[in-house]
Amino acid sequence: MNILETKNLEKVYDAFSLRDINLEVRKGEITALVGENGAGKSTTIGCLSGIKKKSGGKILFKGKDMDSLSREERSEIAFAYDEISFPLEFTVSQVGKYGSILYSNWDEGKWLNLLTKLSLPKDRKLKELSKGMKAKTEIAYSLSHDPSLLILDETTSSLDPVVRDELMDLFQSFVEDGEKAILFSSHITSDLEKIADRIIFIHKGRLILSIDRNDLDEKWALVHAEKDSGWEKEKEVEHFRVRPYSMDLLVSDISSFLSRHPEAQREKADIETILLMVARGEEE
Amino acid sequence: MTKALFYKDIVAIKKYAAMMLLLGVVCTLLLRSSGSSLIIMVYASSLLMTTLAIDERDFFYRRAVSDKGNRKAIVVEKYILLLILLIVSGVMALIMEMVLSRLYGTETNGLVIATTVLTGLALSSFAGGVTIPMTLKFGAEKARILIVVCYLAPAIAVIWAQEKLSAIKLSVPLLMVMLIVFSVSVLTVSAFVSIRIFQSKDL
Repeated sequence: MNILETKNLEKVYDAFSLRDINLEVRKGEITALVGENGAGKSTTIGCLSGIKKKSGGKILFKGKDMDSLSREERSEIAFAYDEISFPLEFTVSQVGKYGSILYSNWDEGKWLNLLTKLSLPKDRKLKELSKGMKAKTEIAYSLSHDPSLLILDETTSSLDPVVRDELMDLFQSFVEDGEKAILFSSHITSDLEKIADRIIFIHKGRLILSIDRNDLDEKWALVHAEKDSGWEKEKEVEHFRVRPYSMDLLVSDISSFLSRHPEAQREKADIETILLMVARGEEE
Repeated sequence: MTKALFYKDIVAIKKYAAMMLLLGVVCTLLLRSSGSSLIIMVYASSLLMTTLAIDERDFFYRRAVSDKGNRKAIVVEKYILLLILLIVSGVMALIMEMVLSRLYGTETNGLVIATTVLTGLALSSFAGGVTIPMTLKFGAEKARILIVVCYLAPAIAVIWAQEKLSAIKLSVPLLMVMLIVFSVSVLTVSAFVSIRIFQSKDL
């Protein structure tokens, strides 16, 4: 079941527009939202959170329109951003105090556990914390009111690999009961390789691809071909990139492609490869 | 939601509120004239600007809207905060005026003292009532310059009005009612405008 869905989500600016965004986030899954800078990831998340007013389309949470959620239903969604969004004069404890006043289902025990687990000093002011510690505080806050859906907007971008690894474990345990979900926007594709169950690629305000993790591992591949091979016209080729003397083809069903071209040179298509092909290649 | 927002703002301005008390005492001792305590009320309404500037600087609106989605509550809380600041500073101003009258023999008529404090309320309501929508619309930096005008304009208007009103000979009770009506009207209109601005704004 989809915990979050968008139907033809649109946001129009003068110089940029987000159009026909139809994404799905399923229960028990971590969905990654990937795209180059300026692709529309933060705009999409901005529309989901309400900080940006959408120009059109619908956003559904557990089948219900986001605009008509009750306060309790709204509390089931948590957002965490790349920069901490509390007054910097707050101490870490005061962030928790704020949360306990705001949310009737605030879990103080969970909050304190997370502070300990993430080594966050309770009595330090936010302005005295490093970027990484601020990000961890933001995440601890988001998890402490027991949300069903966690939406992360480049939250881990400024963190070192050790901290990111710690958080990836936390996110995986968050969804393990099968009832919760995460939508995770990031351009650190190595993190997404570890935990994403579904990867959505966004480019120039359009949703280009939505790939299941199993399909990514088993069906997607990068094929290197001669420039005049004509393979870019094959039905399995989603994107291609012309180089001076050759071509790279992003193939969505390698078995089917190889049945006609068994001689094709291929390699595994990881998230970064697909992102580069989407952002810099040409669609067939 | 309002309680949480209020908690956030009180944490932000509590050290400045302590300064307000100090200001009250200093004003009384140094200026020694009737009406000098109104500085406390104007200062109190400026604390509102502090909370708005902090919210903007620290991307707090993004947090507040993401958490509960209730933009109206975010705006309404600012007006509740303003009212509380005005009431607290108004009471402080009243006490200062009474102390002044005892210590230095300034105005002793209770009604006149009350009118003086209500004038402060009207001035501060106007200043606060302009600060909130302008800051929400233009941001703290741009709004600051416009707000200086908004603090000066009512002060000049009051000085001008005092000369005209003394010729008209309004009764003190009527003047008190007019000041209260003016304060309530300004804040009500300001609240409607602010809610509209904030509802449609991309954060």
